Amino acid sequence: MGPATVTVALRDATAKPVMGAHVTVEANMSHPGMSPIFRDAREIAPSRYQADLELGMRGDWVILLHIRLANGEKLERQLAIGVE
Amino acid sequence: MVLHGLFGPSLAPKNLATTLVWLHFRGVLVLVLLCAGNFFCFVCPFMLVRQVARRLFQPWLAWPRKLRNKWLSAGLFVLILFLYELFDLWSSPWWTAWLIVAYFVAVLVVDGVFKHAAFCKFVCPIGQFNFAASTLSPLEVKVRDQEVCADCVTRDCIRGRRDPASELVVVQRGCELALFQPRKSGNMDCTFCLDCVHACPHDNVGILSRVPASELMGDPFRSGIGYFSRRKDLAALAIVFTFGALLNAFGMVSPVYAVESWMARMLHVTHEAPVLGLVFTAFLVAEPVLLLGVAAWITRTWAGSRRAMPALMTRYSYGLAPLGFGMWLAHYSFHFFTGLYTAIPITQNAIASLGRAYLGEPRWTLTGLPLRAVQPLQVGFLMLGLTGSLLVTHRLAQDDCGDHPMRAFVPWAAVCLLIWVGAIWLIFQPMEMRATFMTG
Repeated sequence: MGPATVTVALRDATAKPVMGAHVTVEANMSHPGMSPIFRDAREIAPSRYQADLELGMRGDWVILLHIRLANGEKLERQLAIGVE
Repeated sequence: MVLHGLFGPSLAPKNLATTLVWLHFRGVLVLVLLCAGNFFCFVCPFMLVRQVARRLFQPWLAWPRKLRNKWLSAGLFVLILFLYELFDLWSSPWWTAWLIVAYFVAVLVVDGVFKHAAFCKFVCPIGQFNFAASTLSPLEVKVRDQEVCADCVTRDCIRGRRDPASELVVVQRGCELALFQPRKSGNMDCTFCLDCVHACPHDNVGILSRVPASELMGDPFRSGIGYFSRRKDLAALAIVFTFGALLNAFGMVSPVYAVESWMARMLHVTHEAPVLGLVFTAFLVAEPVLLLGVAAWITRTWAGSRRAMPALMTRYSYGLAPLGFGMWLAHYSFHFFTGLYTAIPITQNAIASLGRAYLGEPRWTLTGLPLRAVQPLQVGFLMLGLTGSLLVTHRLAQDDCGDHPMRAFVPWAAVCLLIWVGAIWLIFQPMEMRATFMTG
């Protein structure tokens, strides 16, 4: 519980790095009714995106990645994490 | 809700089924019970299925005599609490949707086969929750003037109003839960369906105000129920209602995971069910038996009550219901108020997923009231519950032991205080929601 950093490396289907994307990280508790956290990720290196979050509660969180590629295409990815 | 649960987002905070059921419905339910009465049963959506089914075919069996009590429904109440924890229903739109579907099917089957309101009175776990909580409500469906009933010969409030041309044709149902208005006392088993109100030809039945919990302070004969003090099944329901409130809240705070992990290591198990079974046994059997048993023993030996131990435990178990209701209020109002506005973005999202954002883009940052505003409310609900329980048990002690009412009251007051301290401790624990078991 506390500060957390989410780092995402974007690759396309041929494993080439994907640069210039806009990545928003959304963190949700698994229980409904909790306030979600939204943070825009910055590109800290080519194709690597990072956002700092403050996870205020222990338990299961779901991280949603809202990705808009340079060509305008939108993607979403979801991953579950446990916060101690 | 069912469609969104089955086909909508799998993430619980984004789905109408999980959000409306586990946040808004439960919150509104307990607040309406506190401020008014059993109006959920009044507008029960499951009854729609029954009404439709009964237009197609008539039930033909009477509910089995051996099941005309609360044992089955209290057991189902426990089962729902158990499944809620085991399958983490709050985090699963899919399971929540299927639970709603299962409820509709159960109503259809039970009330399709059995006459009267068998499902409401003997099966429905939500109904039992509402019956127990509505004993603390300020409104009651009751007779305005007993003298009018004394002169009544038709008894339409229970028999139903008949067609003057044919006695066999009922044009307005009477009470299907066997509550004869002149001898009805309190809200137990009353679904607020208002059939009796509509059936009474003298307009002598209505929704009237009363002192909340007053029905727990005495032990009159009650139509359709009998005496509370002789109903061990009802006492069991009161115990499940009270201690289940603590258990349900305990399942959402950090210490539960430490306890479960420790128990799993001791038992050498990796599945949650046996551990959860032990936690449930501790909360719903061991704890009540110990607390009520000790208090009953002191009431007998110190205050000189002539009632047997089981009779005392049965009688005073109803006195704990206000505390239980206080805990349900504290728990459910927390989720309701802190997530008050979340239905808005989820509805926006559900509409947008149909192809066009008619209600605008989802505003996910809309959540609810801050914790600092909700926590005093939770403490207030628990104080209200404690006050109610102390008043009820004091009145029962006065009736029981006229010579030493304080001696009879003290052990039960101690039980109430212990439960209250536990409840206060619970609401100040950090919340920890996990849909995974024993993560260490």
